[in-house]
Amino acid sequence: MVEHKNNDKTFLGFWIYLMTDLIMFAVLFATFAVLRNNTFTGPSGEEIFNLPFVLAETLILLTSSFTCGLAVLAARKGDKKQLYSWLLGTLFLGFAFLFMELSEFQELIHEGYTWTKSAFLSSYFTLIGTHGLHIAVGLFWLIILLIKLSTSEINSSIIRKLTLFSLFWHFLDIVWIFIFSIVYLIA
Amino acid sequence: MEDLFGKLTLQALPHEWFTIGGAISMTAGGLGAILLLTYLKRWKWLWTEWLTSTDPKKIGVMYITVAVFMLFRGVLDAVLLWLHQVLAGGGQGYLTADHFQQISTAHGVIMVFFVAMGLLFGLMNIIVPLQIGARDLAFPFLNSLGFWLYVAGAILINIFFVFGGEFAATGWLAIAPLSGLEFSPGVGVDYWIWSLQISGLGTLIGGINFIVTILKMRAPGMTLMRMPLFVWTTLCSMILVVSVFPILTMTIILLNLDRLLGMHFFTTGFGGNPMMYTNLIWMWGHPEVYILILPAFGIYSEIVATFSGKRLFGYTTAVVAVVAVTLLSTLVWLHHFFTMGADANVNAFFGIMTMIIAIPTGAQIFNWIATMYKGKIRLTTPMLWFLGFVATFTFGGMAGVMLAIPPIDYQVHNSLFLVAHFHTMAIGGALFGLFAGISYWFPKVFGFKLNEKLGQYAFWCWLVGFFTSFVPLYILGFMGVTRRLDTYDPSTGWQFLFLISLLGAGIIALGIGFQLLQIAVSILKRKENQNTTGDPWDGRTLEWSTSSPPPSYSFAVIPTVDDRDAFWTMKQAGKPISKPIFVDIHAPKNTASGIYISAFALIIGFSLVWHIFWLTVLGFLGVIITVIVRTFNDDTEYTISASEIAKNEEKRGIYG
Amino acid sequence: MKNTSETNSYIIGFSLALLLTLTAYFTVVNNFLDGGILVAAIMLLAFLQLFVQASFFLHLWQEKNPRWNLLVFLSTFSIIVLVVIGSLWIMNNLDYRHDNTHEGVQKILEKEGFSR
Repeated sequence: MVEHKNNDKTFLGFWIYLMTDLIMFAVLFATFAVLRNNTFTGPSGEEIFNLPFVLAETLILLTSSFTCGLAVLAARKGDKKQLYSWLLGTLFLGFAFLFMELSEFQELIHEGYTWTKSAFLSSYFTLIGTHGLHIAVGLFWLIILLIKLSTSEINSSIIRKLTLFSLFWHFLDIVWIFIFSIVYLIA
Repeated sequence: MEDLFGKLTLQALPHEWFTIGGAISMTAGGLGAILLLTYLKRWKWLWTEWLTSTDPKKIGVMYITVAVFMLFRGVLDAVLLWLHQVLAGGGQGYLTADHFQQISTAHGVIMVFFVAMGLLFGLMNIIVPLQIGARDLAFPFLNSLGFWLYVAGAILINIFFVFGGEFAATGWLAIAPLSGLEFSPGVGVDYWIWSLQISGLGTLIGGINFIVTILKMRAPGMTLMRMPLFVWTTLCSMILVVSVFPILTMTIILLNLDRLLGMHFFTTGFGGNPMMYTNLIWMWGHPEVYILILPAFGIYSEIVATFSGKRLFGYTTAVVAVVAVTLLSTLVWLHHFFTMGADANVNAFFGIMTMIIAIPTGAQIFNWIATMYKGKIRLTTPMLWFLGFVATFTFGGMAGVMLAIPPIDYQVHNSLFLVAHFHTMAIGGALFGLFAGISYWFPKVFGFKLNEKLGQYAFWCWLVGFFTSFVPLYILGFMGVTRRLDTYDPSTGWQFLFLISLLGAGIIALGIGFQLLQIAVSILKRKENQNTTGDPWDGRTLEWSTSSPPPSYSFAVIPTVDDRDAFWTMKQAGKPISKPIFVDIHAPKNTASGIYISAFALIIGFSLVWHIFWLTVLGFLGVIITVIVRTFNDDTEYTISASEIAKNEEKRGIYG
Repeated sequence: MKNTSETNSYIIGFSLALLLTLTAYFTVVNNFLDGGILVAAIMLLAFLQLFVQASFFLHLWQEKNPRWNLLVFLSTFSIIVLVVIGSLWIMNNLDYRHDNTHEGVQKILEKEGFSR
């Protein structure tokens, strides 16, 4: 009973935290939308984006969101083997996504299109970079969870932590959908 | 060596008279405190009873203590500015232009972020859980962390006195492009950025904590529409916190990226748009005003009901009004930059929205007046603060409606008229409310009342001093004096009005003197004003049902609520309180994790100001490790046994 | 029983999200639409996807009363709309008014009904 009540509080608190994070992203989106055409002498979005590549990123992240959801279900069933495989899948897809994001950055920087070139590039790098940073934090969190999992049985505390993590991960996917639409597709 | 300390070189260390003075007084004060604590052998006591405590009542007292120290700094800044403006009429004044701007920035930043917010969070911590019949906040550890982040921010904003550098000379909101690297190459803006970032994080955590607490932890029977108004206003204020503080955080991050990594969000070249900064910062800045004023409304509602001996008139209207103000406050930010040049449609929309706010606000004032009508009014100090507020706030509100009209705003924008207006709201509205709240709830926290007579002297000094010092500013504003003006020609004839204004500041200072004296006298003669019943004012809400000071667990048994003004109803029912069956209470253990995390946050902030990046990395590692250690620690509670509680409660002798 | 239905919910959500993503992508790549309509269509698809993920992954509508999570989500949503739409409205308006090229000034003079 007490446990249940505490869970309730933690979920609501974490949910509100996610919402504040969402508002931070909203500021980045607003800034991006306002500065989108301020390319100065630098390139515009159309010139530098590689849409098929981004689609691949999107699908990877979407799939990882899916596997993450299945992981929570496996945990509730108490199926540790399934849980491990879904979590490792999520971890793998997450790293793949992060790697792709970074390689995209690297390519741009390599071509000389850094964030100091124009307001558009500043806002682009910041928006994508902030998302990437969240992904990195999420992966770090996931690793810690895996370590914890290896030392204990599936109990209510683990399930709670997994559920919180999955909320975070779904949330990052939703933010990415908007990045995909507003930043890449509309350009 | 140069690389090791980034931009922090020997030249950066304090070398001007005011920074040296600050350095000496801060070091001396710090050393004095350390010596005193050592002499009295109070270190362990301080650490275990206070600093590591997760009890919201203690955290609240610590918030208020820090805020009061910051208040001294803010008032000192104000006096320096006033004095300079008077002297500048007959010559140069005694401050350089740059120093004058630094002080005025410091005054604004400190008063808003560290005084008003600190006092507010202090009162909320102490009172909100008690009023909803909860023993604690939803997340006690995060509460402690939020407080310590606030402290870290407060230290960082003052630390330049010791380590050197300067304060931002950009105005309290560091409007771009002035705050960009091009026009403010010094570290002042960086100090501003990081201290706001760190304390803002604390505020955000606090906001989430209070929302969850109020939504999830109310005593059985306390429905939303039975909550005391202070709880309602806290809830609304905290909803605003979680809605707009992320905007502030992100905006400051962007400004910092401009300065640190050479990005171009708000720069004048490369496609940057400084107007976007103004837009974003006010999207936070306007609601921030309401974050401060709404809880003050709540405090007044509690006080006026208690001291009129009546239930608050029009409770439902008051709640609706508070919610309406909350919603509207997010829709008016453009009125801070009518003059930036948006067209008539845009300006008209935001002007009208602003004027509409006056309606729910006015409704509240009528609620309070109607509550007093035919009530048995007791003119105690808290009530005096309330009455002073009604007069001052209505006065300032009128000026606000004037400013909401774009054509008038074009005339008085950035003038002392504006300065006078928002000081009327901030002092007459928020600060009077916080003072009222402190004198009202002081006996709850410490078990004895504050000296009435000295409190009333203090109030009258503040009220008279306030009008003496700010009415001239309204007039000067009409005469065309701009804000942050550090020099003017004697032929303007402004000096006399500035002098009257300074006189008013003197009267306010006298008021502060009385307040200090009041606290000292009340502590010395605490036997005379002692209150053992826990209900010194014949109060109406649940906080008065427990003892003063409340035990660490606040309520031996969680009360059941069946009406508004829950405690009043219990008293009216007049049932002898039967001795309840006490059960064990689980309470959160003390924790020092919040202190460690904030210390590392302080290191991160400081090292980023001076570009000492190896230290930044260490700071981050520190934070991460502390957080991980904390999450692996599942043993965070201890048990207060039923017999202990029973023994404690017997002493109150209230059970029939 | 409960578990299989939840698994199904994830599978449905995942398929719908895939479908929406690919629709948006191919609309853009094959130039099915352009200009304002394209932007509107993509935003519509994005919001549909938000709805899908919120329903099937976050189970936002299944919460029991009082629905604090939903309420918090909706108020956040309105703040976000306010931040984005408000900024765009104000900043575009300012951009237009601050356009000091010759054509810009002419356009403003004409539109606002001033004559020289």
